[in-house]
Amino acid sequence: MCKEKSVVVVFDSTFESLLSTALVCESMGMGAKAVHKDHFNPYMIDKESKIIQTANNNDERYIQFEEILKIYEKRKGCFRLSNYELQEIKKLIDWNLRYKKNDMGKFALILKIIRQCLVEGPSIVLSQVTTESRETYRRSRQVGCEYHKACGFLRLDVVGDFLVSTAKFEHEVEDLIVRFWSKRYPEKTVVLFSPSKQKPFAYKGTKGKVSFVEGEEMAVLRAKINDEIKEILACSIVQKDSNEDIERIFEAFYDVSSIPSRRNKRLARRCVPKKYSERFKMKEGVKIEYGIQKTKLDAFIVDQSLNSTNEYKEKKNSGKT
Amino acid sequence: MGFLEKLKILGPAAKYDLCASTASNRAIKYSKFNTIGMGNPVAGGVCHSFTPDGRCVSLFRVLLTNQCSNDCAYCINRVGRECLKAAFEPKELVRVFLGLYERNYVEGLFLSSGIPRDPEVAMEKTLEVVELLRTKFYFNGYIHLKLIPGANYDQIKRASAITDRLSMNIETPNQSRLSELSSTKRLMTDILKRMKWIKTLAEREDNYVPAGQTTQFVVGAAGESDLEILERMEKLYSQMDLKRAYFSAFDPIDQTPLEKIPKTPLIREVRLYQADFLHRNYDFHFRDLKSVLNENNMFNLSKDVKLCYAFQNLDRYPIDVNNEDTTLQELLKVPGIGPTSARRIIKAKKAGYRFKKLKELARIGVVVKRATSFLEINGRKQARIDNYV
Repeated sequence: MCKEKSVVVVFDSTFESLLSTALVCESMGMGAKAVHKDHFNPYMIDKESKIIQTANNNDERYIQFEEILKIYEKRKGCFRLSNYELQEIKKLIDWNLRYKKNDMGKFALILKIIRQCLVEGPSIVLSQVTTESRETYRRSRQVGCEYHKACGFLRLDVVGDFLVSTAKFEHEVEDLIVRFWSKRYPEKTVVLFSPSKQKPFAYKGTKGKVSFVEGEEMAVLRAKINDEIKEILACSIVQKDSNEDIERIFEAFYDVSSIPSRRNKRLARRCVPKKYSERFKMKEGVKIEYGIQKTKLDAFIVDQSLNSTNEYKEKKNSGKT
Repeated sequence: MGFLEKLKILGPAAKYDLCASTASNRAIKYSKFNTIGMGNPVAGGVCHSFTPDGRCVSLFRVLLTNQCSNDCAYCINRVGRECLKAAFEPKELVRVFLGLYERNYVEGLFLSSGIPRDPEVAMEKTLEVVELLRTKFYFNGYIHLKLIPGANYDQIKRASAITDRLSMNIETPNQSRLSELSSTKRLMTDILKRMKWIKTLAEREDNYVPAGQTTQFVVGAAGESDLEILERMEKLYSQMDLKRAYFSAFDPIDQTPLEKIPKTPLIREVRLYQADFLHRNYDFHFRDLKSVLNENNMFNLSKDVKLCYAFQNLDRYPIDVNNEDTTLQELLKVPGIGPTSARRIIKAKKAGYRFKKLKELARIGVVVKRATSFLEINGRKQARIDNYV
């Protein structure tokens, strides 16, 4: 009996590639194995096994999605996802692809989710009934949350024609944030520096177009921004409000806009994201709760025998001596 | 007087005005084509910080001036109340606001004003700020403008064309209550007539007031009941195409005629917000909400509105989640089930999924602790109502 060749599907971090991979694996059954292109090592694979590339990188083994779809439909029947469902799944997976930069385990979960959609129908995933779908939604919420918080709480410094900010993110959301801002401030160039120790990089955006900057290019960009700062400092007549002036105005506005009789410590503490609280006045909201010194059980015991903790300390010290 | 000093006077003067969401569908129209100026209102609200009272700072909320000739008994800016008076120059306000917006401190502008003498003159001043922003600086971001009672039709038309949201504070549910609080404001002519104009303009013109109009009640200042407020809300939603209503529990301010009146409990404000949300998002009719009121025509302060409704209509429960005839509307009326989880239940049922355990419902977002007494799974009751009580 002729033994069927095993299949290795090599994919990249795009929705199309992952969908194609899931379709191939589903058509081939147990014989197919999926590997991310960054982890693919041709020497580790059995010589007789067939390699299919779903990652579009000019490889001759690359197979287009339409072709894969034909194979799938031939073996398994028609492709059941409607356009709307496909869009919803795509949205979910796009957020998941941005989950934790160095986590390669996310691809296994995404492939599982696509398989569930193909086998049991997309509603199973979209209504979050399965554990995997719930985990996928949780992850997409985490990524979305980081993006939305950054859009709201990250501050920008105006340096000539540049709007500059620096932040470190757990998930891959930098390009989204820069795109959001570059659409909002079309006359300016938005630069978001990511101070990673291993490989610092930045994203630059103008009029909605975002580019990745690293290495020498980033050094040039930094130098340009520094020149702008020098020019502003050298200029004797400052026409516009400086970044510090505006910060002072915002702090004054922040101080006066709360209603003292409605002070709600718990709510304020819950709402303020700790990551951004250091930067500006919001930390006061946290201070309200955290500012109170922790009381130890000893203090209560001491209170019964002594009038104040100072007396207790004095007694303790004298006892020691 | 410098800008900071003015801000310290005019910032607190606006803190009782409410504004929350910054969502405007104008975002889609502008984002692709604008290449000059700045600003882009987004489809969902963005918060930029939180104040110690737990409220989100999203908009730069200020008064243009706190000088006012109205004698509203609850108001911090009423005529005759001794406090520092100030007024922003439109240009300085625009300059600072753009500075804040550019640095991502705020999401938009919320502008209101006192009425020093003539309401039309005061309205003209506030319009000058907005027109400066839109036409000279090409600001495309979110602007919420508080209309001044007594503004003329032309001014309201101009305001509708250039702002995202307009609002006019109705303060009390009817004229008799308003007369108790203010001798200068007329509900029909000064407020409701203007709200009707906004509605007509928004219907007639394509991009007018894209985020709709809102209003605000001062709860408890005139001794009105929740029934009166509900009745007014019903009319506003049906006749004025109101986007939402805001409620502010009365808080006595010194040097006002109501300074010795006790403040309204905040929980009453919460109950009114619950009723408003139940109407807008949970498909509750106003008759359902009115049926919950007690003999004094007030909401029960110790129990939430949806739970009260469920207890009053026990014959409609328990509802079987797996039953094919169970509709979205029925699920929305179960305490502990919100619009998102109700939609998910319907979606799962459509996919042929049958719920077997309460755990599965918890996984899709149902607050099981609250819902359990009102639900059935495959014909089996999950808990007795008595247990809940």
